[in-house]
Amino acid sequence: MRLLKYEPMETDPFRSLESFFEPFRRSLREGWFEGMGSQSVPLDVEESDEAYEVRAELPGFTREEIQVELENAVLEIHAKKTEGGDGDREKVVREQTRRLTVGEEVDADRVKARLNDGILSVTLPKSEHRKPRAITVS
Amino acid sequence: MTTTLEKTNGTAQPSTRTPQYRRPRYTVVENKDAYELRVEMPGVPRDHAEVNVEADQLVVTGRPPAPERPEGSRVLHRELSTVPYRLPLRLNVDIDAERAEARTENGILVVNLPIAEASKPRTIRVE
Repeated sequence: MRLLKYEPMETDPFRSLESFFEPFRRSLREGWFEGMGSQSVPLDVEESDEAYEVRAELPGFTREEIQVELENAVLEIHAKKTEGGDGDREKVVREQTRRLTVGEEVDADRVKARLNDGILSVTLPKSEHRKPRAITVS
Repeated sequence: MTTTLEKTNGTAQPSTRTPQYRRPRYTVVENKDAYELRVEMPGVPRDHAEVNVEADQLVVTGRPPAPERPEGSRVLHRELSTVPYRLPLRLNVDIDAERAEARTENGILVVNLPIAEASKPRTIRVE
Protein backbone atom coordinates (compact mmCIF):
# COMPACT_ATOMS: atom_id res chain seq x y z
CA MET A 1 0.00 0.00 0.00
CA ARG A 2 1.40 3.42 -0.91
CA LEU A 3 0.33 6.86 0.21
CA LEU A 4 1.43 9.98 -1.61
CA LYS A 5 1.36 13.47 -0.25
CA TYR A 6 -0.52 16.06 -2.25
CA GLU A 7 0.23 19.74 -2.63
CA PRO A 8 -2.76 22.09 -2.45
CA MET A 9 -3.14 24.06 -5.68
CA GLU A 10 -4.80 27.10 -4.23
CA THR A 11 -5.91 28.19 -0.82
CA ASP A 12 -8.61 30.79 -1.01
CA PRO A 13 -9.60 31.75 2.52
CA PHE A 14 -12.80 33.34 1.27
CA ARG A 15 -14.40 30.32 -0.33
CA SER A 16 -17.89 29.69 0.94
CA LEU A 17 -18.36 26.89 3.44
CA GLU A 18 -20.54 24.99 1.02
CA SER A 19 -17.77 24.80 -1.54
CA PHE A 20 -15.73 22.62 0.84
CA PHE A 21 -18.20 19.82 0.37
CA GLU A 22 -19.06 20.36 -3.26
CA PRO A 23 -16.01 18.59 -4.74
CA PHE A 24 -16.94 15.47 -2.75
CA ARG A 25 -20.52 15.47 -3.98
CA ARG A 26 -19.62 16.20 -7.58
CA SER A 27 -17.00 13.51 -7.60
CA LEU A 28 -19.45 10.95 -6.20
CA ARG A 29 -22.05 11.77 -8.86
CA GLU A 30 -19.48 11.19 -11.58
CA GLY A 31 -17.89 8.30 -9.75
CA TRP A 32 -18.77 5.14 -11.64
CA PHE A 33 -16.47 3.62 -14.26
CA GLU A 34 -13.91 6.35 -14.32
CA GLY A 35 -10.92 4.10 -14.76
CA MET A 36 -10.41 3.08 -18.39
CA GLY A 37 -10.98 -0.62 -18.89
CA SER A 38 -11.12 -1.42 -15.22
CA GLN A 39 -14.02 -1.95 -12.87
CA SER A 40 -15.06 0.64 -10.33
CA VAL A 41 -14.81 0.21 -6.56
CA PRO A 42 -18.03 0.49 -4.53
CA LEU A 43 -17.63 2.70 -1.48
CA ASP A 44 -19.17 4.61 1.41
CA VAL A 45 -18.10 8.07 2.57
CA GLU A 46 -18.75 9.42 6.04
CA GLU A 47 -17.81 12.69 7.63
CA SER A 48 -17.22 13.72 11.22
CA ASP A 49 -15.88 16.97 12.64
CA GLU A 50 -12.43 15.40 12.66
CA ALA A 51 -12.16 13.47 9.41
CA TYR A 52 -13.60 11.89 6.29
CA GLU A 53 -13.79 8.11 6.31
CA VAL A 54 -13.90 6.17 3.05
CA ARG A 55 -14.74 2.44 3.09
CA ALA A 56 -14.20 0.59 -0.18
CA GLU A 57 -15.00 -3.01 -1.12
CA LEU A 58 -12.00 -4.84 -2.59
CA PRO A 59 -12.51 -8.57 -1.93
CA GLY A 60 -9.61 -10.85 -2.84
CA PHE A 61 -6.91 -8.19 -3.02
CA THR A 62 -3.89 -8.21 -0.70
CA ARG A 63 -2.29 -5.09 0.81
CA GLU A 64 0.49 -5.25 -1.77
CA GLU A 65 -1.99 -5.22 -4.64
CA ILE A 66 -3.71 -2.02 -3.49
CA GLN A 67 -2.40 1.47 -4.10
CA VAL A 68 -3.89 4.57 -2.45
CA GLU A 69 -2.80 7.97 -3.73
CA LEU A 70 -3.76 11.48 -2.79
CA GLU A 71 -2.73 14.06 -5.36
CA ASN A 72 -4.17 17.51 -6.04
CA ALA A 73 -7.11 16.83 -3.73
CA VAL A 74 -8.01 13.63 -5.62
CA LEU A 75 -7.98 10.31 -3.78
CA GLU A 76 -7.29 7.39 -6.10
CA ILE A 77 -7.81 3.79 -5.06
CA HIS A 78 -6.28 1.32 -7.49
CA ALA A 79 -6.19 -2.45 -7.10
CA LYS A 80 -4.56 -4.84 -9.54
CA LYS A 81 -4.19 -8.61 -9.42
CA THR A 82 -1.77 -10.25 -11.82
CA GLU A 83 -0.54 -13.74 -12.48
CA GLY A 84 2.33 -15.29 -14.38
CA GLY A 85 5.23 -13.34 -12.84
CA ASP A 86 6.93 -10.16 -14.07
CA GLY A 87 7.55 -8.87 -17.54
CA ASP A 88 5.82 -9.99 -20.72
CA ARG A 89 4.21 -13.04 -19.17
CA GLU A 90 2.41 -10.95 -16.56
CA LYS A 91 -1.33 -11.05 -17.08
CA VAL A 92 -3.81 -8.75 -15.32
CA VAL A 93 -6.62 -10.89 -13.97
CA ARG A 94 -8.51 -8.16 -12.18
CA GLU A 95 -8.21 -4.41 -11.97
CA GLN A 96 -10.38 -1.89 -10.14
CA THR A 97 -10.02 1.89 -9.88
CA ARG A 98 -11.96 4.68 -8.22
CA ARG A 99 -11.18 8.37 -8.01
CA LEU A 100 -12.72 10.76 -5.57
CA THR A 101 -12.20 14.49 -5.20
CA VAL A 102 -11.76 15.09 -1.51
CA GLY A 103 -11.30 18.85 -1.29
CA GLU A 104 -8.36 20.66 0.17
CA GLU A 105 -9.33 20.60 3.81
CA VAL A 106 -7.69 17.16 4.14
CA ASP A 107 -4.42 16.92 6.06
CA ALA A 108 -2.46 14.82 3.55
CA ASP A 109 0.32 13.98 6.02
CA ARG A 110 -2.03 12.17 8.38
CA VAL A 111 -4.03 10.09 5.87
CA LYS A 112 -4.16 6.43 6.91
CA ALA A 113 -5.34 3.31 5.12
CA ARG A 114 -5.95 -0.21 6.37
CA LEU A 115 -7.34 -3.43 4.91
CA ASN A 116 -9.66 -5.78 6.81
CA ASP A 117 -11.71 -8.67 5.39
CA GLY A 118 -11.69 -7.19 1.89
CA ILE A 119 -12.69 -3.68 3.02
CA LEU A 120 -10.20 -0.86 2.56
CA SER A 121 -10.73 1.95 5.08
CA VAL A 122 -9.09 5.31 4.39
CA THR A 123 -9.15 7.98 7.08
CA LEU A 124 -8.62 11.52 5.80
CA PRO A 125 -8.22 13.84 8.81
CA LYS A 126 -9.28 17.45 8.32
CA SER A 127 -6.64 20.15 8.63
CA GLU A 128 -6.57 21.80 12.04
CA HIS A 129 -7.49 25.22 10.67
CA ARG A 130 -10.54 23.86 8.82
CA LYS A 131 -12.14 22.20 11.84
CA PRO A 132 -15.15 23.92 13.30
CA ARG A 133 -14.30 25.68 16.53
CA ALA A 134 -16.10 27.91 18.97
CA ILE A 135 -14.74 31.40 19.20
CA THR A 136 -15.13 33.12 22.52
CA VAL A 137 -16.50 36.67 22.35
CA SER A 138 -14.42 38.84 24.58
CA MET B 1 -67.26 10.00 23.32
CA THR B 2 -63.81 8.62 23.16
CA THR B 3 -61.43 8.69 20.32
CA THR B 4 -59.08 5.80 20.04
CA LEU B 5 -55.89 6.21 18.17
CA GLU B 6 -54.37 2.98 17.15
CA LYS B 7 -50.84 2.60 16.06
CA THR B 8 -50.72 0.81 12.76
CA ASN B 9 -47.93 -1.52 11.92
CA GLY B 10 -45.79 -0.69 8.93
CA THR B 11 -47.58 -1.64 5.73
CA ALA B 12 -44.64 -1.48 3.40
CA GLN B 13 -45.22 -2.98 -0.03
CA PRO B 14 -43.14 -6.08 -0.73
CA SER B 15 -41.39 -4.25 -3.57
CA THR B 16 -40.01 -1.56 -1.25
CA ARG B 17 -38.97 -3.91 1.52
CA THR B 18 -35.27 -4.43 2.10
CA PRO B 19 -34.30 -7.86 0.80
CA GLN B 20 -33.52 -10.38 3.51
CA TYR B 21 -30.47 -11.76 1.74
CA ARG B 22 -28.30 -11.09 -1.26
CA ARG B 23 -26.48 -13.61 -3.38
CA PRO B 24 -22.70 -13.22 -3.33
CA ARG B 25 -20.46 -13.68 -6.39
CA TYR B 26 -18.68 -17.02 -6.37
CA THR B 27 -16.46 -19.34 -8.37
CA VAL B 28 -15.98 -23.10 -8.24
CA VAL B 29 -12.78 -24.82 -9.32
CA GLU B 30 -12.70 -28.58 -9.74
CA ASN B 31 -9.49 -30.24 -8.65
CA LYS B 32 -8.65 -33.94 -8.72
CA ASP B 33 -9.70 -34.70 -5.15
CA ALA B 34 -11.78 -31.71 -4.16
CA TYR B 35 -13.83 -28.74 -5.27
CA GLU B 36 -12.74 -25.28 -4.22
CA LEU B 37 -15.57 -22.83 -3.73
CA ARG B 38 -14.64 -19.15 -3.43
CA VAL B 39 -17.39 -16.82 -2.22
CA GLU B 40 -16.91 -13.03 -2.23
CA MET B 41 -18.18 -11.62 1.05
CA PRO B 42 -16.28 -8.38 1.70
CA GLY B 43 -16.65 -7.06 5.23
CA VAL B 44 -17.58 -10.46 6.67
CA PRO B 45 -15.07 -11.62 9.32
CA ARG B 46 -14.42 -15.33 9.88
CA ASP B 47 -16.73 -15.62 12.88
CA HIS B 48 -19.62 -14.08 10.93
CA ALA B 49 -19.48 -16.67 8.13
CA GLU B 50 -21.09 -20.10 8.13
CA VAL B 51 -21.05 -23.12 5.84
CA ASN B 52 -23.70 -25.82 6.17
CA VAL B 53 -23.87 -29.08 4.25
CA GLU B 54 -27.06 -31.05 4.48
CA ALA B 55 -27.88 -33.94 2.17
CA ASP B 56 -27.27 -32.56 -1.34
CA GLN B 57 -27.40 -28.89 -0.40
CA LEU B 58 -24.62 -26.56 0.67
CA VAL B 59 -25.52 -23.17 2.13
CA VAL B 60 -23.01 -20.36 2.73
CA THR B 61 -24.13 -17.41 4.84
CA GLY B 62 -22.30 -14.30 5.96
CA ARG B 63 -23.41 -11.32 8.01
CA PRO B 64 -21.40 -8.14 7.65
CA PRO B 65 -21.26 -6.37 11.03
CA ALA B 66 -22.41 -2.74 11.08
CA PRO B 67 -19.36 -0.52 10.54
CA GLU B 68 -18.07 1.34 13.59
CA ARG B 69 -18.68 5.05 13.29
CA PRO B 70 -17.40 7.87 15.41
CA GLU B 71 -20.10 9.69 17.31
CA GLY B 72 -21.75 12.48 15.36
CA SER B 73 -20.54 11.29 11.96
CA ARG B 74 -22.73 11.91 8.91
CA VAL B 75 -23.16 9.71 5.87
CA LEU B 76 -22.19 11.59 2.72
CA HIS B 77 -22.54 8.69 0.34
CA ARG B 78 -23.54 5.06 0.58
CA GLU B 79 -23.03 2.22 -1.88
CA LEU B 80 -22.10 -0.67 0.43
CA SER B 81 -24.89 -2.86 1.73
CA THR B 82 -25.19 -4.52 5.13
CA VAL B 83 -27.76 -7.06 3.91
CA PRO B 84 -26.53 -10.58 4.83
CA TYR B 85 -25.18 -12.87 2.12
CA ARG B 86 -26.73 -16.25 1.38
CA LEU B 87 -25.63 -18.73 -1.25
CA PRO B 88 -27.50 -22.04 -1.50
CA LEU B 89 -25.89 -24.53 -3.89
CA ARG B 90 -27.08 -27.96 -4.93
CA LEU B 91 -24.30 -30.54 -4.88
CA ASN B 92 -24.47 -33.03 -7.70
CA VAL B 93 -21.47 -34.94 -6.42
CA ASP B 94 -21.01 -36.68 -3.09
CA ILE B 95 -18.94 -34.52 -0.79
CA ASP B 96 -17.06 -35.76 2.24
CA ALA B 97 -18.57 -33.15 4.57
CA GLU B 98 -16.51 -34.44 7.51
CA ARG B 99 -13.30 -33.37 5.79
CA ALA B 100 -14.60 -30.09 4.37
CA GLU B 101 -12.62 -26.99 5.43
CA ALA B 102 -13.26 -23.27 5.19
CA ARG B 103 -11.07 -20.20 5.67
CA THR B 104 -11.27 -16.50 4.85
CA GLU B 105 -8.81 -14.66 2.60
CA ASN B 106 -9.23 -10.88 2.33
CA GLY B 107 -13.01 -10.93 2.21
CA ILE B 108 -13.28 -14.20 0.27
CA LEU B 109 -14.56 -17.34 1.96
CA VAL B 110 -12.66 -20.32 0.56
CA VAL B 111 -14.35 -23.70 1.08
CA ASN B 112 -12.50 -26.89 0.27
CA LEU B 113 -14.93 -29.72 -0.43
CA PRO B 114 -13.24 -33.13 -0.78
CA ILE B 115 -14.96 -35.47 -3.19
CA ALA B 116 -16.25 -38.60 -1.42
CA GLU B 117 -14.28 -41.75 -2.25
CA ALA B 118 -17.39 -43.40 -3.67
CA SER B 119 -17.87 -40.58 -6.20
CA LYS B 120 -14.35 -40.55 -7.57
CA PRO B 121 -13.95 -41.93 -11.06
CA ARG B 122 -12.14 -45.24 -11.06
CA THR B 123 -10.57 -47.33 -13.70
CA ILE B 124 -11.67 -50.94 -13.84
CA ARG B 125 -9.10 -53.27 -15.11
CA VAL B 126 -10.34 -55.74 -17.73
CA GLU B 127 -9.45 -59.19 -16.61
